[in-house]
Amino acid sequence: MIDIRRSRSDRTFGTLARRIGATLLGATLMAATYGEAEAQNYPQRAITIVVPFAAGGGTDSIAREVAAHLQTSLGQPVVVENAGGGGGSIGSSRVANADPDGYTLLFVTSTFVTHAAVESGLPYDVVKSFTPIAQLGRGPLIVVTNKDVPVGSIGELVSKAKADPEAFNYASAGPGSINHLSGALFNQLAGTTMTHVPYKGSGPATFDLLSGAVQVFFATTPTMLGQVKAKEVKLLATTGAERSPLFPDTPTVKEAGIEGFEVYTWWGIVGPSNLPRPIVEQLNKAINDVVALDSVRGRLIGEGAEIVRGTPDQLAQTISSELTHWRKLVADAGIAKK
Amino acid sequence: MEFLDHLQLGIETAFSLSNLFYCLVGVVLGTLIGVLPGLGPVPTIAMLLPLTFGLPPVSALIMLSGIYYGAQYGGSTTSILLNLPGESASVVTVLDGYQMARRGRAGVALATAAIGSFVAGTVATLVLAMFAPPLARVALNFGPAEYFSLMVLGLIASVILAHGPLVRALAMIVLGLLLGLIGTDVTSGTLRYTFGRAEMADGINFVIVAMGMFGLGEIMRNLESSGARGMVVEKITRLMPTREDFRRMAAPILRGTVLGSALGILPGGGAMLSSFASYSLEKKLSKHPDEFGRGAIEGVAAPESANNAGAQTSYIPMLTLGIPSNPVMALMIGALIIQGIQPGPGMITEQAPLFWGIVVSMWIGNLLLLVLNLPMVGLWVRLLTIPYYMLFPVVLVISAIGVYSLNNSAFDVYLMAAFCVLGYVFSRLRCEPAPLLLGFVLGPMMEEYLRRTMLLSRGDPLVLITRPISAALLAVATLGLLMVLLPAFRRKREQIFVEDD
Repeated sequence: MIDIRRSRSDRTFGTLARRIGATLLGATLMAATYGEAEAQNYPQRAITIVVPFAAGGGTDSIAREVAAHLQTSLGQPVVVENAGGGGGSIGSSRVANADPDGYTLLFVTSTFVTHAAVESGLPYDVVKSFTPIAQLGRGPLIVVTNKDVPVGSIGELVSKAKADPEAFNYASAGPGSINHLSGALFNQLAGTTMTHVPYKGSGPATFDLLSGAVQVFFATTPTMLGQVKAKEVKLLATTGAERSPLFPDTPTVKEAGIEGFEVYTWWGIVGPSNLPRPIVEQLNKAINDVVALDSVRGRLIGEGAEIVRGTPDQLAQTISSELTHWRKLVADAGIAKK
Repeated sequence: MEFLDHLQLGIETAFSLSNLFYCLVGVVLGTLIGVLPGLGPVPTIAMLLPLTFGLPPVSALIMLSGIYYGAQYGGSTTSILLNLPGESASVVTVLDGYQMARRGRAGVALATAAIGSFVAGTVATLVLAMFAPPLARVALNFGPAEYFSLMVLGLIASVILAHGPLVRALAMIVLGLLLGLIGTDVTSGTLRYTFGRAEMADGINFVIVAMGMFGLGEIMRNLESSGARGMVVEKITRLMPTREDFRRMAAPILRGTVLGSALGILPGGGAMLSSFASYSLEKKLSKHPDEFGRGAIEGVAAPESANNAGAQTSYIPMLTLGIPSNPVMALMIGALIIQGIQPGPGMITEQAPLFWGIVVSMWIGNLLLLVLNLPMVGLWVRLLTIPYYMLFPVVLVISAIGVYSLNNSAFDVYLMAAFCVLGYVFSRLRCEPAPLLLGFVLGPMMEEYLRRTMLLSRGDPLVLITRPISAALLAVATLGLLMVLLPAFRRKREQIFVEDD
């Protein structure tokens, strides 16, 4: 009995091995003709967009919405894979090492660049290891204070913080986050010495801002929108070049006299380096179309951001100029990680 | 009367046929993923999020909430049956739940967990409905100094948690604290003990340590002691608790509910402490503390009630302030934002049907869970009659999948295997893993809060005793420490240990 079964399974195994062999041969042949033809037929199978943060954050939710629409327009499943950790470096290095075939993409935010600016030992280079595809949008940060802090404007904040340096702390979502670097930039340009108090993400930072343990937060708009509307915090300024349409009565930090202070958070999609140009073009068009959809656009605008429909080169430009900008601040302010 | 109007609004919302349906879907899904070790509510909710885009916001949140607290219910099942805690809240349930299972009382333990969770869920939902906004204000009085003192108290309580010689418990706590140091330092961003592995940059996930040391370590021990026969189970006597069991579980359930409801309000790790704290409290109050760790029904009733109560009240910071107290809440906020609702302080008044609908649906969900779970007890217990040589490979595979799904990382699976070996070694050395896990959870939080306190006070440690809440917590902690060190208490502890030998 047992012997028969064994020989049968042996035979099955032999067939299986031959089949695998044939498949491998086929795959090699296909790889030889890879390139132009492949790019023309792209996409043939599911595309994975790696989000380098844990599921559930604001970035993740934008990525999932974009992925859902891309799936419709590209006609193949578009899967979001969360690979959080290490300030986004785990997910980013995964994509940096992926095949440049357009099936593994990375959802990036300003953190992608700020993290690279403070962290010297990353296993990838934000410029050389990736191919920019498209920027989705960008938005200013907002400067908020606890409602009991006796300042009503950026000017007052600067003078009070200079008069009593001990009284002012600014919160951030962690060392090297956009909130941290904005605060450091503000200190540098305004000549203040507010103390940086890092948290594990924006949630706990918001909590301590509301309780008054920390006084100032250079926050991303969606994090604080509800608090601002309910007047639980004071909104002093927005950080863009122009006033935010969401808060037309609120001045920018620049208007308030801090020359050169301009900070944006942004979102974009990149692929591994050497991604074939036709695939980049095709994805760029598809992403730009998704961004223009009412639901996506409405959402970004509702969160105080603006949509960006640009070329891959414009995203490349954004990444490299932001990198230079933040690297300079990190060097000047001495906040590089050791 | 306003409260009754609101309640009526909630009942009308939650009892609509479609919302009842989504509540049921949520709790069933939640129970399922809770039962599968390692597979938590976060990846499940993240995956289901796109499905909720088309639903009305209330239905979406009702379903997602159902998954969340359904998973809390389901999580106790594997803890009790297989010594396999899938989340921090169920680690304490393992201590006595699994021992009850080995004594043929798995059914009773499961039923106790379900009943305790239901009572706690009901009370906590009522607390949420009546006092959410004022309680959120209370939570805001907890700054970094208060959290630090709370963690100190928790750590002292963890000594009570352990049985066996004091020095081993202390050693395990310290080892836990050290393991907790691995990862990125919150204050400076410096990497510590990561050995250049990016996977360790955020530290080791709690689930990996807990499943490796408890669940898989136990499998190795079973295989060693009885080979393929596996876990030795006394004959299963009865499935439902006796009158005596009910008498013994009543007070622990109520105390666990109160403690869990209170700690759940604190977003900075309160819910995590609730099950540990209630277990320690029961052990301290019990007339027969020697039974703890050997299948005391109080040791299941109290922490299970506490963690469910904590899960419900942890909605308070989200619903009243718009601040997520854990990743699941963050996902729900994400779902609301996609629906065009900005969670924040104005939500209760602006979105009254949403708030009250969710509150009422929580109670319905808890009832559904009780009705679903009690009849399932018999089925789950039958799981123990599966031959071990078939059961343990399945458990191994499911655990590996669960741990992989945490971060889509194979490295985590290897890490779990390493902790499995460690868990086995410790069990041979008669060192208990529970204090280690508590140290592992509390250590990093304690450090984070202490450093933040010092940063804010510009290095002045006196703030810890000049702030009243913090001072009170530290005073209780000192009292607890004295009790552990006082001769009379020590003698009692040692007696227990001798019996243990």
